[in-house]
Amino acid sequence: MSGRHQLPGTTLRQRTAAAVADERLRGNVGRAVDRFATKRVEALAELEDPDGLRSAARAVKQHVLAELPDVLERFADAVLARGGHVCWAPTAADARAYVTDVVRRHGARRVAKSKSMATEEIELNAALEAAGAEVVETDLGEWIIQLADETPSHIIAPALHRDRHQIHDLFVDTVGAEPELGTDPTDLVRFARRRLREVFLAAEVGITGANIGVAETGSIVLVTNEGNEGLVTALPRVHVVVLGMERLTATWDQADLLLTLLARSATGQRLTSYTHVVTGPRTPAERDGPDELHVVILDNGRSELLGGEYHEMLACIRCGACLNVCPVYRQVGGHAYGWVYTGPMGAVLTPLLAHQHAEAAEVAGASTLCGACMDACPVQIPLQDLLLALRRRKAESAGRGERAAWRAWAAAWSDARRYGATTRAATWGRWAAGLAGRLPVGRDWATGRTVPRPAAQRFRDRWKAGL
Amino acid sequence: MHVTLLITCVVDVVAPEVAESAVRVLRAAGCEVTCDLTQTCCGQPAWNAGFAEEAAAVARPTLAALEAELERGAEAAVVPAGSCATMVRLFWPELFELVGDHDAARRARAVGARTRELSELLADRAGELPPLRLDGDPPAGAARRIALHQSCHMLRELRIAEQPGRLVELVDGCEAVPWEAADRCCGFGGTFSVKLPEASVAMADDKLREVAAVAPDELVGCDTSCLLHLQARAETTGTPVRIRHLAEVLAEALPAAGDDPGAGAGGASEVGTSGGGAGDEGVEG
Amino acid sequence: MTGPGTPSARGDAASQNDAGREDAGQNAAAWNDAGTGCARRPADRPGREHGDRAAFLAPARRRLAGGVATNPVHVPPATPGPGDPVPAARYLTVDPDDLVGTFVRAVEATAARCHVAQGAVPDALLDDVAAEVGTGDVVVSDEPLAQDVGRRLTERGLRVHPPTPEAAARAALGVTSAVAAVAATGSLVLDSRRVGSRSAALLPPVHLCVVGVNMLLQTPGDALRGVGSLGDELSSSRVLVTGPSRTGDIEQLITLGAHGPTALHVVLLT
Repeated sequence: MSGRHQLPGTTLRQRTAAAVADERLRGNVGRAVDRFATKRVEALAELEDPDGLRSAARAVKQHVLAELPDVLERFADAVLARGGHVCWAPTAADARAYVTDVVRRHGARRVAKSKSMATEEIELNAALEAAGAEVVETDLGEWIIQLADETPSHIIAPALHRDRHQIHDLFVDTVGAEPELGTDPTDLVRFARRRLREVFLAAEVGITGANIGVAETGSIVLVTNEGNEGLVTALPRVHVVVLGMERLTATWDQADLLLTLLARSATGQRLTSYTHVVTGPRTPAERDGPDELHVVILDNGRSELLGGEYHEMLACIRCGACLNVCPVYRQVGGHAYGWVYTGPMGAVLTPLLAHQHAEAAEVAGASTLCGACMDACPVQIPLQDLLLALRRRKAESAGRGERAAWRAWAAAWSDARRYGATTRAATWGRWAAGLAGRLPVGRDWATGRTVPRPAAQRFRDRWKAGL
Repeated sequence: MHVTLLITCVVDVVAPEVAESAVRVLRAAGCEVTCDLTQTCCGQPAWNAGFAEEAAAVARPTLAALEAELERGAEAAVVPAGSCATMVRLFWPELFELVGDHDAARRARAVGARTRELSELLADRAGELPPLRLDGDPPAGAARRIALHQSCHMLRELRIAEQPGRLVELVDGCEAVPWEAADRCCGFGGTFSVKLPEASVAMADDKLREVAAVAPDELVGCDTSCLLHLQARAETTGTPVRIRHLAEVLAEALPAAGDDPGAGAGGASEVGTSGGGAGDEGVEG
Repeated sequence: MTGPGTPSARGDAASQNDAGREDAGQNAAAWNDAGTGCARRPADRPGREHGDRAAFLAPARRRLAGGVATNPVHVPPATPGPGDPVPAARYLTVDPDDLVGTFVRAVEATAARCHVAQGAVPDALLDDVAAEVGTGDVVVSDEPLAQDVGRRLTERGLRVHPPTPEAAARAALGVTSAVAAVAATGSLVLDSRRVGSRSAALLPPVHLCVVGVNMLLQTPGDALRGVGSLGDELSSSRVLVTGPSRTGDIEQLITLGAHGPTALHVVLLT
């Protein structure tokens, strides 16, 4: 695996505090998200009624999710009919075991990977390496973080937190690049192209994720820019796809609608350089392409979300638009979220999918509920509602100090007389301090801010006195 | 038009001048303003933190107060805070349903339908306002440059976007200056400000840096929580920008008492309809 | 074990790759006889299912049985309904009366070059291409339009090869046609069975794609929504190529030619 996630082992506060102290990181992140966010707006403006399309996309995903088991069956049957293998993987361990077995059975020593968040989620690389295979990420950003032993900081641009100088130094330090290698992005990309070309040509197994699985034909759609995905799926004998069970459409019409919005929302492109439709393993007339296609359908906590309060999160198409407009992400970058998924979608998915870690629940607090993410989401996921629901869930197991504080507050302010008694200038400070109890609220506010003073007379006093 | 005021707890305790200014401007726009002091708070802090029962407990008396006022003939409840207006209009029904209080949810829907954020209402009644004028700061005659902070709930939930700017432009001697991060969250976020204080402060710094780039005379918004947060940070970093609520700017721009306004209903401050509504006598405080 | 991305000798597995590619049928068999028990002719028989389908789907069925919760604040839209047609985007940048112009503009917006020619690829263009290729090799797809170009490049003294991965890995230029072109986005739709490989358009640093105007569609939807009706015509790999390969992974500055071609030349024949 490329690095260890910081969750568990650290708190959200520790991670965010460390991130905002890193001026270089904030600069890199801010510049990157601004670019993405601006281009997204420009790209959507080329479509008639983009908000209408987003609304339609939300409806379409809801229809698919409502029928998901049937759509999955049709998808699997279509994959099988075309000669692809299907693995039903209820857990991450199931998925890892199957893929490891495929790699072992083929005696594969070299595995080439195209970017896949799902494989990060299940920590597939570590399992394959333990089985004796060398796993190389071929997406440039993913290769960079693999070399740096880090985790991705953004869905679309995993190495967004690193600038050219940091990447140059990384290449020199880890893969023997000459120090004279230029720091211009072109020089760095050329270097990576030469090095990774060898990986494509030598790998026996290629592993990808999938952006969409289309049940109508049992196809996988892969949306990329670099060309590594095409090579990972053209040259090795075996192609393994890890697909989250919710990432389906029933029909090509539905897929087209999502694909209309995906690249525009993610990078501001009309389409990425490669919109690749894979249907079954290769046929005899094709001189390359895999002899074997394996589609691993992953649950790993997704089915638990169906039908309930968090159901709509399953519509996510992993475009990253929410990250690019999030004012919190802008300041802290991706690693602060501690896990695979970052930004607003990560604030929701981490508590839901990484629930084996107690520390995952607090990631839903990495938001001011400003709503910018909802305005950007191509499938109009009500992220704010989901975050509120997660906070309610977390509050059920709140610490005694926090619960006592809210109860005392409610006891006082559920009655105008008591409210009046606790808010007089003379009593306010004492009462508020008592409320906070063992919670360092005052100290936390005063970290870099002055403390507002209560007015000598409340508004209601002035009103009573005659305004 | 008879309106009733939802003070909001932050304004009540820390920034009463905001509500005072709101009352003056509403009266100048031809509104009779009443206020039922059995209200407390809308409950949003607990709602955002995930403590629904506690939020509902606090919201109930406020709901009852607004409801009573509407029954007494108020046509609308006016809220000088975007986030509180959002809480009342959008989230109260969900809150009460969630805690199983279906009756309160029904009543909340009725109250919410008649609740207006202050700038939303004033913009609707712009024609009733007297001429508004502010003398620019030196150099003499220069317009006062106002950078507006568009607070999140108001902008994205209530979709109140252009009304504050429209009101600023109504003021002779004022101009609203566009700026890069006008609609970016200030970083307050309720308990976010104390749970993740470093990130919260970084977000405030971001806003203050962006606003400094246009060097306005004032940074003005419609949510006191945001403004207090930004002010608290600005005071620490020594950022020299005056931060005020839109109500205060408009109140300052009203014709002074005794001036002949020349036109407009409502005119100068009227004492006749002041005083509390029902319920304030019995409240200690 | 070598580190990621470091040079590794192309050992037995790699040469088996090479051998297997020359003749798909025969050498696939040889490789399979290594006892891996894989499907011999993948498209001839259905795939295998691993894991318990019913058990996998049971939790999902259970949770959906009671319907889906709806949040009262941000209510899901009612349209399109489950049976309704899915709306197709209208592209404001498409001029339906001038699809060729739309296509050219869109191609160039992707940092590819677009040449419009009547009847055949112009000699001047092929001269330029030949000069650029120099002493390098060329791979040419199985498609007739590409084969034409191949013949004419051979006449110019270039070494032209069928689109095997080995040849493509050595080639300076890959020539293909396309089964469709998309005006709104400047995309070419490549079909692996028609081309004869997936890597011909990816491995060489320059890709030349020759396509007739009769293949020109308006939108990506026109290309994608019909995939379901292709039936057996749907090959294992169909790709909408939109510009050369690129990456923005370094400071979000676009660099062309990440792993795929650095340059894409499109010739639209009217």
